[in-house]
Amino acid sequence: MAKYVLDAQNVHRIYESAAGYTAALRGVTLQVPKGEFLCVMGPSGSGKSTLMNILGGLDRPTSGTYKLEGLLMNDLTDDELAEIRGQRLGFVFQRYNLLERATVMRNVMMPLIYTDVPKSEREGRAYKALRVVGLPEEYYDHRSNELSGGQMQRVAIARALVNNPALILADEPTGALDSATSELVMNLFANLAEQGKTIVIITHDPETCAWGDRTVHIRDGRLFSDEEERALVEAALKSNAGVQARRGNT
Amino acid sequence: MKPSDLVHETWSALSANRGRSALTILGIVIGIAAVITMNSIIAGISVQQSQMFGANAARLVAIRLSGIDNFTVDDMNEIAQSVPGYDYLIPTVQGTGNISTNTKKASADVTGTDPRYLSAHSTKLVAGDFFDERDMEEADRVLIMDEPGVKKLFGKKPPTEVVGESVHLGNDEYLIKGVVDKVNSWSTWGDTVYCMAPYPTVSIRLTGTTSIKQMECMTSEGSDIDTVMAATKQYLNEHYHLASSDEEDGSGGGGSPRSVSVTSDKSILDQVNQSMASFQAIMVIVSGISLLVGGIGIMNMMLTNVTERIREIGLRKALGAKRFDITSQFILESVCLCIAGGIIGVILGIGGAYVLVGPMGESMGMSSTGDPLTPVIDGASILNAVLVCTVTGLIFGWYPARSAARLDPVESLNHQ
Ligand SMILES: Nc1ncnc2c1ncn2[C@@H]1O[C@H](COP(=O)(O)OP(=O)(O)O)[C@@H](O)[C@H]1O
Ligand SMILES: [Mg+2]
Repeated sequence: MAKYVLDAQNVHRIYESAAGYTAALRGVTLQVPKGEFLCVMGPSGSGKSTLMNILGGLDRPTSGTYKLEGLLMNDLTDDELAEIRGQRLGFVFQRYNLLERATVMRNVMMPLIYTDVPKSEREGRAYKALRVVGLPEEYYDHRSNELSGGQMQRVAIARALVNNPALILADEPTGALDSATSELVMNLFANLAEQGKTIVIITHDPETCAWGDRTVHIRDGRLFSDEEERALVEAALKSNAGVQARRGNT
Repeated sequence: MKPSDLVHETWSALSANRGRSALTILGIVIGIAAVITMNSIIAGISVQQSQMFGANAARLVAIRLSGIDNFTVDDMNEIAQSVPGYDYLIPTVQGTGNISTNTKKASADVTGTDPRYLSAHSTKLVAGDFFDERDMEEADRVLIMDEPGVKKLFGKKPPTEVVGESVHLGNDEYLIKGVVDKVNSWSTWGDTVYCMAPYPTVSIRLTGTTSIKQMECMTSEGSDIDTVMAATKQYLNEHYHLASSDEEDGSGGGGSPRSVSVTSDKSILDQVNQSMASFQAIMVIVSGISLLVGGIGIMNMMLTNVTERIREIGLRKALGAKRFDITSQFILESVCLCIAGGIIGVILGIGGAYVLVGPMGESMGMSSTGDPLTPVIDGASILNAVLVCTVTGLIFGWYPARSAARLDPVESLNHQ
């Protein structure tokens, strides 16, 4: 067993477009042990989604290595990555991404149709996942577009749980929810973490980070620990104070 | 992905888009319906034709002699032996007379022929027996009637009871030995009763001449009828010193000039078959075009589908769908659409065949011959239609499905 569920070493991701090159990640090193609830916080455009795509096997590093449960993800083919995603990863998106025409049950079971989980087991698993997220049973056969935002996100979390993944990745999971609902959803993540799930949440919201075990900060494609971030902020404030004092003098 | 999951996903996607799906398959429906309608009607026509002319009609040659006296059965058999390509020749003669029972009277038209007549034509025995070689040798006064004739002469009496009755024909008493379905295709009309009898009986008792004037000749299976006909003409010209070579020659002054005609229905049949074949070819082209247009319609809809469902595709990929899963999902959607179109087309096509068979038969001059034309529904052509639809779905679904499978998961998930 690998020591870390995820282990990224000096990961760079350079986008190539008509406008030129964009370095979205510039040497990211990140290790997450099993059972940790990690928040990655940073402003818009700092490279959060890029990082999540790589951690989730949806994208590959331009350089550096990324291992999921000890498996080197860099050189896997598209189909191999798809298989890993189906078996070892759970995604929660900001905009839920449920299939509108399908029922709650079908949505939750969707990852299982791409794995070899036998049909007889699927409903049981979906029930279990839906009970974990606390969606009342009367909604199970509703179409997903009949639910509220908070309910939809709970269905999405159930979908991320159903394949019993090694890692749950959530990109701004509360970004579309009001603060009360956000709190419910974050509480749910915290409960999952208590039960031993490894969770990485990406957000720009400091309140969200309060729920996690650890927070790392991302800025311009680089990661900083909480302490580094605090030192940085203090240094900035200090020099700002100097500027203010000089202004006050003149 | 398990096949049952694939089917479920397909059904859910197609039923979410019912209206558009229905419109899109219209081209397929029309194409398939056209083929099924035409095939069924044409099959009906050929069935009726073989009933009318007999299955062997294309193998029959008719020889007519004029101005030649004392042409005997031996002379006829000489043709069969000298000209290669004949199975047998049978003499025919037409005689007329009045036919009567104790209660009824009618004019009769009697074909004198040979027992082999039955195998050369589609005529079927329905009661009693046909006359045999012994009847031929002894010029027995036996008569074969047909069902319409029995009706005209005996009213409601069934054919089985008519067999064994005797009737008056010309100056003699005849025994009714058998009843056939139809002596010819027009025997239901008018008051004339059409019968058959042994050749010698008719020629001696009704026409008064024993010289054979007409023969029906069955060419052997596989022989080229035109070659056989040419050889026959040549043989007859050489042996009977005919002035003009083939066609009946009415222009030669007085008396009766010697002439012979050798004809067959093959050219007529060929012509009918040919016109049906070209008709069928046109229908195949028409339906091919509508399948093509329909297929392009399907492809267009599937491309729209892919564009509209980019986020769904991205999501499925994020959740573990491989390229093949996506490809097969979209191809199956297109194949199902096409097969649905095909099945509806088959049903409409069969309906169309029953509706159009009347007007079509009339315009082709088929309805004047008695039996109503009925379409023949052929399982193989239905299977073919469904197969063609499957292939259409595969071909036109392939490109949209492939472009769906190639989408990048990150970009698709971020698609607005
Ligand atoms: N597909 C792409 N092509 C080019 N540049 C991109 C692409 N995706 C993101 N970027 C750029 O990379 C940087 C990081 O983007 P992203 O990871 O989406 O940040 P975040 O999620 O923190 O807002 C931004 O400057 C963005 O413009
Ligand atoms: Mg983002």
